[in-house]
Amino acid sequence: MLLQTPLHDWHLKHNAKLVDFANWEMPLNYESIIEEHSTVRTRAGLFDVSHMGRIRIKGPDRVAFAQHLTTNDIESLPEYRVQYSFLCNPQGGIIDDITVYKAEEYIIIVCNASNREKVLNWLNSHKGKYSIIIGDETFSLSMLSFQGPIAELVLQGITMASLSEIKFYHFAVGLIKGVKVLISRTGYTGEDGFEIYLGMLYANAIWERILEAGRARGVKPIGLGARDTLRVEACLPLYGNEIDEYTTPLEIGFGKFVKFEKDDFIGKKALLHSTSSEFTRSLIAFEMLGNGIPRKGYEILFDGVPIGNVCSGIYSPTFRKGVGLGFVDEYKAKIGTPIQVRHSERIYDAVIRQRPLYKRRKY
Amino acid sequence: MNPNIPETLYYTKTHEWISIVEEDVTIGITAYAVEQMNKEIVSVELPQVGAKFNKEDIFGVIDSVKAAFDLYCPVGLTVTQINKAVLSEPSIICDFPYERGWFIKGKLANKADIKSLLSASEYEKLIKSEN
Repeated sequence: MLLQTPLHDWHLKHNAKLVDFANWEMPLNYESIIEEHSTVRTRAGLFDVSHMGRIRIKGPDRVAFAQHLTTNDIESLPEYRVQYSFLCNPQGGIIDDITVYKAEEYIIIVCNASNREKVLNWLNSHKGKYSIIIGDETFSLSMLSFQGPIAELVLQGITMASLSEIKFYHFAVGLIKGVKVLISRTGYTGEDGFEIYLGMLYANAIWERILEAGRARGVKPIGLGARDTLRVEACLPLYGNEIDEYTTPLEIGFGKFVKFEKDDFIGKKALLHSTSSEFTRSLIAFEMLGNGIPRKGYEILFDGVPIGNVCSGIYSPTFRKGVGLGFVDEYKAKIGTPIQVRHSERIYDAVIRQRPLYKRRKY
Repeated sequence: MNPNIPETLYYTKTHEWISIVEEDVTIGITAYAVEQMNKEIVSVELPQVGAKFNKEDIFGVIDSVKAAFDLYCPVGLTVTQINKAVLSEPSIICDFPYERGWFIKGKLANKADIKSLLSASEYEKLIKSEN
């Protein structure tokens, strides 16, 4: 039996194609994925992302605990900020990539749906002497994501919270339709937007309220299909594709989320040593030059010689061609390098491009 | 009679259709296959004119937004013509899978290959059982 979010019936009633995603029955799309993608790039779209794990940590040692388990510096982060971070194993491999919310009395860790139980076990097994309480709120707290250039405009129409004061990776607590919600300016699409956390009983009411507020401006519900094409264009990693327990944050070029200057944290030693290895690989973005759509697992070649693999490949609705992310030998990772993508006997020409492939215009 | 499964064509388990007029064949994919791809075909690759294929050989690849699908040859044939229109505008396949959305035309190599093809009613049963 697959897990369902509180919006499951709504998705069914609105013709969503439902798929198994990390043991959750989630909407892949309601209509054309390309349409949904472009709605988020040009207007705004609403995603049900309640499948993601939400773990609240309370108690006097919560910051010290998170500081020891995550690679980023949560101690120096001011309250009401969000931080992108990693949980690493002692070898420096990524257990999960997470966002950490820091408030006066708690920390919330948002993790991938596919890793929720693993992360919970990892946190619990390191609880030790820390005076903390770890609570999984995935099933009591719902999570919506409202993304796109007009997300702020539409959302501001239905909340008294001053959204312009919520800067990128900040959050606030406010009311929508009288319901207390946590709103952060975060997302996974490369657009401006918000993630909204609220009691699961209110998920349907607030979901519909946001759609209603934006309907005249073209706001629509968006499925996980477009979520994937949006995040690949923005070159945001997905656990299980770009990252896993055999990948370090440094290999994907995310060293800025690893703070070596802070006190010891799990994985620090291994990550320090990994920087001097000559057997390193780099995450690259690439664009197909002609036909062909790259897919996960296809081989990447340079002058016909294998140098790596595709991690994620999509048809990009923005660029109208195949694009992807992949790992290659560090020495071949230079922007502009001509490469080939191989699928059994078929070989397609591609070129390494600057990450991210898509960057929104800032006004 | 199902308008999405024309009676005059033959079908495969892999959702290709084929029309056969003496030795001349035309091949495409069915409306059902297009539906399964969310009516979003974004890339098509076809063989060269003159290429020879055996029954069940892969003769091309189509991509939806989400995944790649191989195209299997319903019969052994030599390619005489490819549909260049669908290469530059793959959405034609979604809109007109049985008309302008064909992939290749060819000369049948072995008449015996026809025997194992599905009729319209057999194909209809197949897709009902898939659902």
